[in-house]
This record gives sequence, structure tokens and C-alpha cells, in this order.
Amino acid sequence: MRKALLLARREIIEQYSDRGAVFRALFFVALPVGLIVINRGGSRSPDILILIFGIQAALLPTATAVNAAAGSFAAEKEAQTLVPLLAAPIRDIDIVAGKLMGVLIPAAGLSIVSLAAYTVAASVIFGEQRIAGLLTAPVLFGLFALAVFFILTVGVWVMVISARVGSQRTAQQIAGFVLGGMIVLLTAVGSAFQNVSAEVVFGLVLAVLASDLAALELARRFWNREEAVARL
Amino acid sequence: MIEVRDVTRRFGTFTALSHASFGVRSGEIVALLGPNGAGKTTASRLIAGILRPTEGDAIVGGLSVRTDADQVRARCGLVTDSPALYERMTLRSYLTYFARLYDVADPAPRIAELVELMGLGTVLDTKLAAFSRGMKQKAAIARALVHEPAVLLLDEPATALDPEMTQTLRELIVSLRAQHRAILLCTHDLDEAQRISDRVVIVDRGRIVREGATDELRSAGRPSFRAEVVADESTVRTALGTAGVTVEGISPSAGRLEVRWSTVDPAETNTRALRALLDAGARIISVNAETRSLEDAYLAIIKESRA
Repeated sequence: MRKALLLARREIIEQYSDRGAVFRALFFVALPVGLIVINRGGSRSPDILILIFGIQAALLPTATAVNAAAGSFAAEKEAQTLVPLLAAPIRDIDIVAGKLMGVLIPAAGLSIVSLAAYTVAASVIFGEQRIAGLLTAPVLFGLFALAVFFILTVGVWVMVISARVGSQRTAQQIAGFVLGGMIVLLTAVGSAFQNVSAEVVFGLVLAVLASDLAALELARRFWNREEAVARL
Repeated sequence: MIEVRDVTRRFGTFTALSHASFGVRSGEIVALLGPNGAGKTTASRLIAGILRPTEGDAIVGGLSVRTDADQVRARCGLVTDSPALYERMTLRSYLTYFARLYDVADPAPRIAELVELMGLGTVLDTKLAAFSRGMKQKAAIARALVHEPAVLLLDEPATALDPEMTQTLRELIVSLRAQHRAILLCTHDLDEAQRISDRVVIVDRGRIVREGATDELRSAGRPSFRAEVVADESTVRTALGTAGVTVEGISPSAGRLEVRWSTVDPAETNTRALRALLDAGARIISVNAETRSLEDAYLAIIKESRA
């Protein structure tokens, strides 16, 4: 685990030493706040809209994770930095875990920032009391958990696939495809919120958790040094 | 230290290495020579514990790459043709990162020692992206040595280096041999191999086609001789033909002739050849044994293996 954390730390520094990545992250954090400001209708705004934007506040920062996951192996392959890493005495599982944490930790952090910013903005626009009733602590926690599990699922899938492709460009195309799927999912989640709130979030968390378990099993079975290096 | 035992490695239907066996002892530099795509990189990655053999096994310091790959990796340092650095990191953070991956208890003194050895002390806190190609390769070598490995695997380490840097690298490799490391140098630079390797393993199309001491390989085959004489060509041909010497070539050179022949029995053949030339009235300026370069030996071996 120590080596996985070491790997994760380097991944995070690598990702955010690029100014473009910082701006992208800030954009995804600011987007839900911007949406709620644009769509403000005062007391006429339905609760459902506030909740949908809340989901977006939690999930939109995960887009940065998808891109980072796509680049993690493919970019290293292109820069040929993967061979020295694979030549080091690190278990396959630590490599995958390290890369995954490198994607998960900053995206989860962004999700918290985004949810906090959104909650503050919504409180200012719709009133503190109304938002406190809508975005309760369990709902916010549920949304955060949803974001974490969601990052885990897409991160693993994109990462396993990107370890098998030859170029970063292909990996980014895969990331784009996953992002497209994400938008569809967000829309579907929005529709599901028509009737219930916290229960739906809890159900979603469970569904995404099941998907995570499947994705992690996939990573365990299909990612290995051999496969990554054989395709270099 | 390294024992490659009847190793075969396939990628799908392609066989990159076929029933390869060779070894490298501690304090020895073995050059793995071969054309591009011969299987050199596959061999080095197998020994480094990155790839598993499809058949056979490679033993590094008594450990099998099949069963103890992680421990094998801890004993090997690998340098590839491309420096492959994380260029946004400084040299210090890069070496510290790898030292920790290799479980080096106290990286700082080791890093100080390495940068001193490589002459990189002044750029320790500079980002690797700002390094020249030669400096990057030195940084890659420092990375490979950070855990003081018993085995060093150098896969085309001098690619794209200028002659001065190549010379520095050569001296460094020789100094590492003196520290009793087992060094496998994968290269197609025959000059490099000839200068520093103790033994040579030649691989072609995934098969080991020859293995031996560098000097043995160079001197293998029929020794050839070159005589510088003053005479006309037909006289020389007739004289040597009568003496039973097979002439391999005659070429004019500054009013003289250079005559070349080879023999398995120099004492007998050379005496006959010189006597025949003198009897024919030729004046002999010099007679020399021709030294076969490793390149000549290598090309002959590759040609033979493909015949």
C-alpha cells in the first residue's frame, strides 16, 4: 500500500503540474454554480432542479478523473516511462491501486469543493432554510459517495482499456466515449429524481457500488504487467 | 548471476525468443548482439522480471523470474534506449521517487553519491525536461543504480549520445564491472561491444547463434594475411598459384600490390607463399596478419546462421 500511495502522489502532482488541468478542474467545479445562477427562478424554481444541479455538482468533477485515467497508462506508454515503472519491485495490484488513487483522490476532493460551492450558492439564491431542507447532510453525503463510486467505476474501466491501447489519443477517445455515457447517465438520474430524493441517491450509490465491484474484479483479472509491456 | 535457461517467449503467434540459453557472471560484461528485432529487448525484459517466459526460466541471483519476479526486479537495474523520465520532476525528486519504490532506506546519501558519479550535482534541483539528451541518459542510469543492483541490464544505452558522452558512458559501465556487478549490454553497436565486453552472445531472429569470449569470436575462422609486394599482378598470381596458395584478393596500392590470402596452417602456407614470390623475383615490403574485427565476425556469423 505504501508504494501505491507513492505512485498516487506522483500521479496527482503530474496531473496538476499542468496549468490546463487546473483550469479544467476549476471549470467543472464552477459549472453547477453557474447553472444554478443562470436557471434561478427564486421561489418558483422547483426542488427537482436544485437536486439535479446538486447531482451535477457532485458528478461533473469526475470528468477530470476520466481524462486522467485515460492518460495514466497510455501517456506513460507514449513517453516510454512505463518500462522503468514496471521494472521496479511493485506488485501489479499496487500499480493499479496507485494509479486509481491518483485519479480518485483529486476528483473526490473536487467533488467536495464543488458540492460545497454549490450548496453555498444555492443557499444565497434560494434561501438558507429551503436548501437546508433539500440538501440535507445525508443527501450531500450520498451525492459525495455516489461521486466516489462513480469515479471508481469509470476510472477502472477507462484505465484497464487504456493500458491495452497504443496511444494517448486512442485513450482520450475512449475517455470521450465514457464521458458521453456519463452525460446520458446524469440525464437518467435527473429523471429518476422526479419522485424521490434521498432514497434514490441511496439506491444509486448501491448500484454504482455493485458496478465498482465488477470493475475492480475486471482490473484484477485483466490488468497485468505482461499485458501492458507486451503492447509497448 | 544471470542464467537464462532454454527460454522461449512468444507474443501471440510471434516468437520473439526461442530456446535461448546464456549466462552472465558477477563482474562480467556480456554483450547481447543482434540486428533490430532479434530479441535483445525481449531477453532483457525477461531477465528484468517484467515479462514471463513462455517456456524455460531465467534465474537472477538464484531467484526465478517465474516465481520470484518481484525479488528479481529488486535486484536488477534497467536502462532502456530512451531515458524514459518523468520530465516534470526535478532530478532529486525523480531519484527519491525511484529510491522509495526500490525500498532504499535512506535515499539522500545514495542520491548524492550517484549525482557526483554522473556529474549531475549542479542540476539536482532542475526539472528533467531542461536536461540535454546525454544528461537525461545519465539520469536514467542513476535511476537504474539507485538501489545498488547486482545486475545491470543496459538496452541500447548509448543511442543518440554524442561520442564524448558515449565515451563517458563506456567508462562508467567498465567502472560498474569493477564493482562486481553482472552487466548485460544489449546493443547493435559492435564497436561498443568490442571495446568493453568480456563475452558476446549473438542473437538473430530470436535464436542464440553464437556465444563466446569477445577475442575468441574475433579470432575464430581462418586467419588471413596481407603482403605488400613490388611485382606485376600476373607474376604474383602465377607464383602463388604454383605454390598452392589461394589468393583472396590483389589490389594495387601506391605502385605496389596488396595480396591477401587465408589459411588454416600459416606456418606452412606463408613459407610457401613467400618463397614462391621471392623465386618469381617479387620484392616483399611487408607481411601482416589481418585482425578480424568483431564486426567482421558478427557479420559472418549472422550470414552463416541465415544460410
